[in-house]
Amino acid sequence: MNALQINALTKSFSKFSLENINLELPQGYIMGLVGKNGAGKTTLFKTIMNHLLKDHGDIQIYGYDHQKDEVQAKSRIAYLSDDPIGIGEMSLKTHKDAFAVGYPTWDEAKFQVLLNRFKLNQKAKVKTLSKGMKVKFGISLALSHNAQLILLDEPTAGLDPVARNEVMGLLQEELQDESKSILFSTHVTSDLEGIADYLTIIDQGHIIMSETGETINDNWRILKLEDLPAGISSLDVVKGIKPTSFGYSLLTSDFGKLQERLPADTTSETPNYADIMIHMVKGE
Amino acid sequence: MLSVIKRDWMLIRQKYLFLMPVLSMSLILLFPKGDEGYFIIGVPVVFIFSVFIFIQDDNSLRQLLSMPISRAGIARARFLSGWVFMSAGLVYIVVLGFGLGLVYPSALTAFIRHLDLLTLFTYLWVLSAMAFIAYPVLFLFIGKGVQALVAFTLGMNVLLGVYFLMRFNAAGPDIFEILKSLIMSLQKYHSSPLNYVASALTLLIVNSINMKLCEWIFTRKEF
Repeated sequence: MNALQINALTKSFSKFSLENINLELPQGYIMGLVGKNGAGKTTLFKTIMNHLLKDHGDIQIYGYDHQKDEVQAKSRIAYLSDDPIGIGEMSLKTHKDAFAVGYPTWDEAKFQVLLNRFKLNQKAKVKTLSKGMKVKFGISLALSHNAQLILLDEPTAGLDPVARNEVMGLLQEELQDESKSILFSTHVTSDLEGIADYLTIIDQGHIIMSETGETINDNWRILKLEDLPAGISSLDVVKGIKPTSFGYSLLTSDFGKLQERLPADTTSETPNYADIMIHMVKGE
Repeated sequence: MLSVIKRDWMLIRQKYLFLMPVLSMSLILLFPKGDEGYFIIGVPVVFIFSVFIFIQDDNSLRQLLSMPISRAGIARARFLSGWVFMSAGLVYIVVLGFGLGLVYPSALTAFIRHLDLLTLFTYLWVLSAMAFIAYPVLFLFIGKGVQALVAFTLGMNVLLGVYFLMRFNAAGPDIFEILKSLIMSLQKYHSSPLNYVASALTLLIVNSINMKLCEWIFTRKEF
């Protein structure tokens, strides 16, 4: 079963729109959603959560329509927004109490473990927390009601390397429970290396690729070429070409199909997620 | 729905339950020669002021929308929570006012002494009218700017202040007289228990319509 399924989703604003978004996240997997600032990541999350109302299309959470079966769908979701905590005057405990009220599956023991792990004081007011502490508190809340689908909108943005490492470590531990699925957005692709089963890139409101890490490792390659063979740039398997100091760097989604058109001494390497993003995302 | 109401109180409303009496007492102390007008006009305005403060918190709303509660459920719960808040505030101010030994306006005193149903209905109608205006406006403004809400709230309170100043300088129109006339005419109308029942039912219907209107607007809002 898919934890999240999006079909032909559109959402338009005056100067920006999500166009024909199609996504499938199977249960038990983690999907990294990457894109530049303003690419549509947060809009997509807000539309999934029904904070923004879609124009067309279909969004299902474990088979439940996100609008018609809103309660069933949201009871399976933990959502950490890009601005996770609002009321600054409130203590963490009050905030937690008000949050836990909405979830019959709230796991207080787990929450206390997470607070201790992150060294968060329940009596502290939200306004006294640093950005990193707010994110840790938001994640502690999100992970303590045993949701099956975890939506994290740029959880590592603005975090120092130590805090980032702590947050990513926690997420990896959470993934040990294979019934859980995570959709994780970021514009820092290194966050996803080694943990994401799927890489999805969004650019200017369009999903321009969504592949498994396995497919990328097996088939995708970066090629270094002095010259471009004729007609190669128009092939479907060519995903991006960048001029470099030695000639061209070409990203292909199927090295096997392209090999016969290339010089014999062409060097290739498996791309990392940053390489893929750099080649596929349009510049300003 | 209960969880939304509970959350409302835990997060915000319990705090403003302390603010309301302070504002109400200030009105009464500032204008010690006042009559029932303070109560009929001033208290609901102060209530609405507090409701406005609550509504301004868009982040809290976004969190509510992320929880397993339907949009319609949130709108209904907040509407009911607002009514509970206003009613609780009413009782609280009465108790506090008597506890502090403040001289209360005649309408309130009559209500307390005689459990005057007419006065009770008048208050409920005033609160209903305020809710009828305030809630849809609030829901429409959500996400469009805190400034607009603040301006509206301040405007309401400035108007109230100006009115009181004019009233006690004997220069302004006597709206209280109009209200008294209204109460007198209602007194004639409310001559039987049947009329009270009819009034109660009408209140219920008006507020049900208001609640549905809030639901309709809220389910079409974006955050």
